Amino acid sequence: MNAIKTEKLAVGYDKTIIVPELDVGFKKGGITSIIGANGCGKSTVLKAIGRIIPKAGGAVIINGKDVGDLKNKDIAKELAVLPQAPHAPGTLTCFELVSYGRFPYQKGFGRLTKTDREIIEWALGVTNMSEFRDREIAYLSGGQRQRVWIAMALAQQTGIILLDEPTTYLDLCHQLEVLELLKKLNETQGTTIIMVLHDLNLASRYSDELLALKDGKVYSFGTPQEVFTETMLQECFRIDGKIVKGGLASKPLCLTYDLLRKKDENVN
Amino acid sequence: MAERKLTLAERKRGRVIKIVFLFVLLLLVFLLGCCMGPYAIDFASVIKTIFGGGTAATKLVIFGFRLPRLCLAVLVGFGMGASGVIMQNLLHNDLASPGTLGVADGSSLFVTLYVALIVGTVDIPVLLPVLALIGGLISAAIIYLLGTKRKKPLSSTKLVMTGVAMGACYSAIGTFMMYVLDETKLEFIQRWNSGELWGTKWEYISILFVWLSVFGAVAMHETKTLNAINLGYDIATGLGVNVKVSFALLAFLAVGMSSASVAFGGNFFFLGLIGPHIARRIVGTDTRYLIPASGVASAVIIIAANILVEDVEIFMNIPTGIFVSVLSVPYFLYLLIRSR
Repeated sequence: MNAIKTEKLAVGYDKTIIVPELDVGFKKGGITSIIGANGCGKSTVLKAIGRIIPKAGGAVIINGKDVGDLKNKDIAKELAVLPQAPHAPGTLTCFELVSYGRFPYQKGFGRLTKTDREIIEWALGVTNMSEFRDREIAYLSGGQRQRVWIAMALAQQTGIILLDEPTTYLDLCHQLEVLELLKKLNETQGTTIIMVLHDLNLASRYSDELLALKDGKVYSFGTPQEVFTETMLQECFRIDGKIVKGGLASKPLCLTYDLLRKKDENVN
Repeated sequence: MAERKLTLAERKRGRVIKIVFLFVLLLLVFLLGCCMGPYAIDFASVIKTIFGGGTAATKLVIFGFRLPRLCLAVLVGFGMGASGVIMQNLLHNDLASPGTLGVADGSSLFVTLYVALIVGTVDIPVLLPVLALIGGLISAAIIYLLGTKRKKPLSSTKLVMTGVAMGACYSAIGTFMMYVLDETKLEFIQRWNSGELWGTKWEYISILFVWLSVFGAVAMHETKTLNAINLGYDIATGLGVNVKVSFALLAFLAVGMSSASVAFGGNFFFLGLIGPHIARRIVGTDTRYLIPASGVASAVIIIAANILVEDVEIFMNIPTGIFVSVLSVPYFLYLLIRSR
């Protein structure tokens, strides 16, 4: 069953259509990474699914319901979105930031109920942020900051989380930490995770499926073994990469790569 | 750094105490304002008069002159302070305020146009508040329409730029209108523009009170949305906020509160910039605390300025608004220098 399905989804800015017509389905309980070169429309697709940018046509179906028919608050109970490099006022504490994740459930003046508090504490716990609950965001490291944002998304208690490059600006260790956390959530809570990732090797390692986009269209969609190929690297990224089988989690891995054009020049 | 060891409950209690402290401070300057003036009254007599005693003279001075002026000052302070917080949070820009976004110039232009073209004399300025309000709302609506696109998400930079540009346009027309005004009208407009607490009739004060209470209550109800918007439009959308609708509602509230305050009190737009800054340093970013704190802080500033105007002979007859700026600018510069 699909957690999210797009039907003839079209997205663009002004008169430029970036994604003309996209029909894809994201499996429930899976981790899917959207990959592609700069400007291929991967962030655009993610944002359109997360209704952060308006779509130019088509439909997005979440758990069988057309997003167009739902109230914004009700969508926020099914789907959490984490934009790239979000910025919070530094004086907020972790607890306060995570408490904003309860927004879709709040009524009136927004007092936190007992349930709200329990869920916030749970979200802080799952993301290993409990010890920092009263610390201000300004005093967190990059990795901790990303984790507290994920905790906020968790407090929304949605079955689906969309993330736009959650590992940006993080060092190697913290990149892994964030992805391990997402994997844990996927395994223990059954959360469907759809994210845009730049690092192809990490995308291959942590994803059940990869969606490779080229010029706003689906280039290939399937398991990392099916999608992460040397031909895909040539045609989507214009690089000449060397793929080896059996990386961690027995996923394909790109060992080394070179510019495609350079090679052409050598031949000439 | 010590701050981060505090637990949430302690922080919350701390903020409530700070707001209570601000209210006490406001009460003190308010009473001080009752005491001081060309006819000085000692503290004990002020208390006695307020609670029904006192001589005929103190009654006249306090109820007839000082209380209306002080009450108006408090209301204007609340209106401007709350409005500034909303605008700064909506636009994620610390320099946003009714003054910097062109809304003030819009109000001011409407008032000028009205005085110049329609009324024969300026004896009946009853319509002024309504005009300032309409002017503020129209100019804000124009800025919103020009600064947003239907098929696009909001961009705060675009809105701020549009506001600045339109503000320049409004004030240019306003300045031009000054040339066609006769002397009496010109003086009124000039004094109004520089901020003078003129609407000191109890009818005006009660209208403003009711107006600000209604708008303020709705704003307080929307603080959780405002907090979410403060995290960024994308995040707010993800949390289920209908950003464009909420933005329009909150902007309407902000413009409504500032224009009404300005209409009765005169041009005090600088308060909308400085009040929120001071309050943010005291209670932090949560708008549930920030809006009341900013209102009280702004009220304290305006009363302090008013005391100086009333009581210090060389400052007499200088509009209070000018004093607010004089008092606030050094502090504002200090904040800017420290923030680097």
